[in-house]
Amino acid sequence: MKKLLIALTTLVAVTFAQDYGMAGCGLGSVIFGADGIQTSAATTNGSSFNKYSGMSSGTSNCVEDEIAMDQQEQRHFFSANYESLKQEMAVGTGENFEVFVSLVGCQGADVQAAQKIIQDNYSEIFTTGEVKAEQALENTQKVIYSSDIDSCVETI
Amino acid sequence: MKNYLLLLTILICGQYSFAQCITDTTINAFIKKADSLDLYKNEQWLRLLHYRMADPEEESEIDSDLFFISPNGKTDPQDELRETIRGMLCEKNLREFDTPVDSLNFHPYCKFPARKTFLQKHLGISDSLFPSDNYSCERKNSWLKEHNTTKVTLIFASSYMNNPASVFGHTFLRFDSKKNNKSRAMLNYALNYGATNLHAPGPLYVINGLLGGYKGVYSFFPYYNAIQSYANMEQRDMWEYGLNLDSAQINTLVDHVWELGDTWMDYYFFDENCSYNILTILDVVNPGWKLSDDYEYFAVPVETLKSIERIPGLVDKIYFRPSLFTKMTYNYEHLTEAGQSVVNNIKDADTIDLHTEIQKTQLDSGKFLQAVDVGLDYVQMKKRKSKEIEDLRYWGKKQRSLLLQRVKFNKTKAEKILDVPIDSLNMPHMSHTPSRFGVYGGLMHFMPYLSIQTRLAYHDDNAEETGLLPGSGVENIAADFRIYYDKDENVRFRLHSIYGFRIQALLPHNSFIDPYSWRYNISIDSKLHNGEFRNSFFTEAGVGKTVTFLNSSLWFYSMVELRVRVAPWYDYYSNVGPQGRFGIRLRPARDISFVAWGTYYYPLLGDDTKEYTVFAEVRVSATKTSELRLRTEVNEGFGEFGLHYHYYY
Repeated sequence: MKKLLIALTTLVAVTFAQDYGMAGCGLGSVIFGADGIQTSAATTNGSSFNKYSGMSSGTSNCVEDEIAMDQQEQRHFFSANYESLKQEMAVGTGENFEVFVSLVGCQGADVQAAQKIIQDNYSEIFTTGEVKAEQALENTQKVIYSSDIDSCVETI
Repeated sequence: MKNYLLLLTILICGQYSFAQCITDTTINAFIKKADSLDLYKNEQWLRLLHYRMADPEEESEIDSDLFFISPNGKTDPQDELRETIRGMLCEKNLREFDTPVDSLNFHPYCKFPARKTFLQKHLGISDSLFPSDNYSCERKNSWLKEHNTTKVTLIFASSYMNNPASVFGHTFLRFDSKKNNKSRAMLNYALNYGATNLHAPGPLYVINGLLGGYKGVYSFFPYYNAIQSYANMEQRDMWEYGLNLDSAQINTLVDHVWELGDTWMDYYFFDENCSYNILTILDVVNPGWKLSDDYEYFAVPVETLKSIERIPGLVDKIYFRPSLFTKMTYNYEHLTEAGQSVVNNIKDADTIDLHTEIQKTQLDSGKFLQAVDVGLDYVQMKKRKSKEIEDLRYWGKKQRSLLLQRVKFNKTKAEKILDVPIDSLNMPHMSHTPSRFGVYGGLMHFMPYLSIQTRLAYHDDNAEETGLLPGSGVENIAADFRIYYDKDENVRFRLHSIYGFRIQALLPHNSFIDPYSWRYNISIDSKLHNGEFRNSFFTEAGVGKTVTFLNSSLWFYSMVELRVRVAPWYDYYSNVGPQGRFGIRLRPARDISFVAWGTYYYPLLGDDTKEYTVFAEVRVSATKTSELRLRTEVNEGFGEFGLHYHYYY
């Protein structure tokens, strides 16, 4: 029952966060690419960063619900670092992977435990073909939330 | 009707119509005090307003109206100071702030927190005098809270020779909060200054940039976006220079960043560029540093690192973040031969079965997986670099197959990928200074000459290259004046050459990448015509390949080029044709190097003289700032031999 609740909360939170999308929110201003692949190869010295909104739009005014905020941060992080995460999750370690797991809420020794569970369930996250970042994130969250690793699950 | 008008006023002016205002007498007293102190000449005030060189006679470099409270703010720092006092203490005089949208955000009291602190410090305005009851500055406060900054780091993304805008590197700031300490540093936010809408074809792009045709804005985004772009996509190494600022300095800096929020400036490639406008922000923290004043005409990003290094104790720790490519090649070089062969198989085979591979290799499983992980970095890099959809599919498919096989080894502990150590003798801020003055003497066409040469910036491929990208040279604006005896023993004086722009990117081939090297040169030089030196316009552009040997101390390259020479004595005023080039670089030690090249030109249009040129030069550096070069150049009917002394500053 607990797990079902968690799954439901996640779903609601994701939907909620999506509603805000580009509406002037700092973090939300970057959307998932159409196929989850970063295609832009040249940044021309930071000019591409201008798509990020300026100082006057923090995230705080945008999504007030804390769960939705966390979700949004995870989505943004996962999509931006998707190419790195894909590999690190298979290998079982890596800087991006560690930060992602900590964003989910896992703490201390649970970080490694969560990384292990994700690696063990890799083929359920990256099923067939090119999996979109959004789908991969949802699958990863399912794997974490259906585990019994305390700190990762408690944060919900 | 009266009620209707009142309602309308409330709707338009929001809370302002209800706001309390302290008396004009009090406000005028503060203004008078500021005037008597000549506070507008205070260096920090001028820095806060971005007046060039903190000179009240100059004007602010900010071009957005929203940054000023007075309509004359851009040119009159005194008027801006008076209006800031008035605007912060009373909302009667607000011009563009009386919009109902985001009014909380735009009241000067909330919008200019660093100016507020400045005024309080110098005029002793107590907190109670500000309209804090009406303006909670909720947005500003939540932003400050969200980015609870405890440390500021200057980031340098090294040169990227595949994009003309990036050959000089790039700098920006990172704001580190306590919760995102070392291992979570990528979650911190970065502040970048960059040009917008860089869409113009070829030369127009450069001209537009030189003339300030682009709009420059600040942006604020998570640092991991920068890591992905620079280190993982463009394969640029990143250097993180931690700044030792106390909490008051950090507060000033963060407050000022908030002030810059939606502001913009005309973007100039050379002077008011990305790096310059990062230094102008740091100058707000401590006007005495005068960091941005080092760059009156030309701000090379790598030079800004030297500026912060010049302040004792400002830089506390330097951290190196290698690009994906650097990390991969470093690890490849440290694998055994058997490990390297696993990587090569991953690189070359269309499909690979790791279970067969592990049977074949003599490596233990931990070392085998380490080699596989290096191979995975290669595949990831290839996938990221894929421009064609077929390439993307090919590498994507290969990556998926490999990753799904890799997880099956989840019970085996892999040997760790090595961290690339920081090369403390070869850091970007250690590069030579960019401007150069030279004195030459020797023989040209059997006539003795003396020459003076000046060059604005930055580096040529035979100079000492500590801290710089090996094999790359970019030179801007150099002039060579000569005095010589002509064949009739008359003393002659002339402008021998002017280089507008000369760039050479020798990008070596290795087992992982096979980039094109390229060069481009636009100048006015001297040609012998009927026994007389004459100036002609000269440009050449070429692409080719480079290989290196002996631990990158011996380089060979060859290029195919197009050469154009324009002079009045040619048919059709021009001489156009292809040119082949072969070159050598030898760098046995840091302070000694040798370059030589030969070209063969085949005319297609204009004069039908085929032309060969041979050039050789040896350099010996005496100190960090001075060097000697012995140079010879021979071509069709002309020879030159000289000893050159260069001083860098």
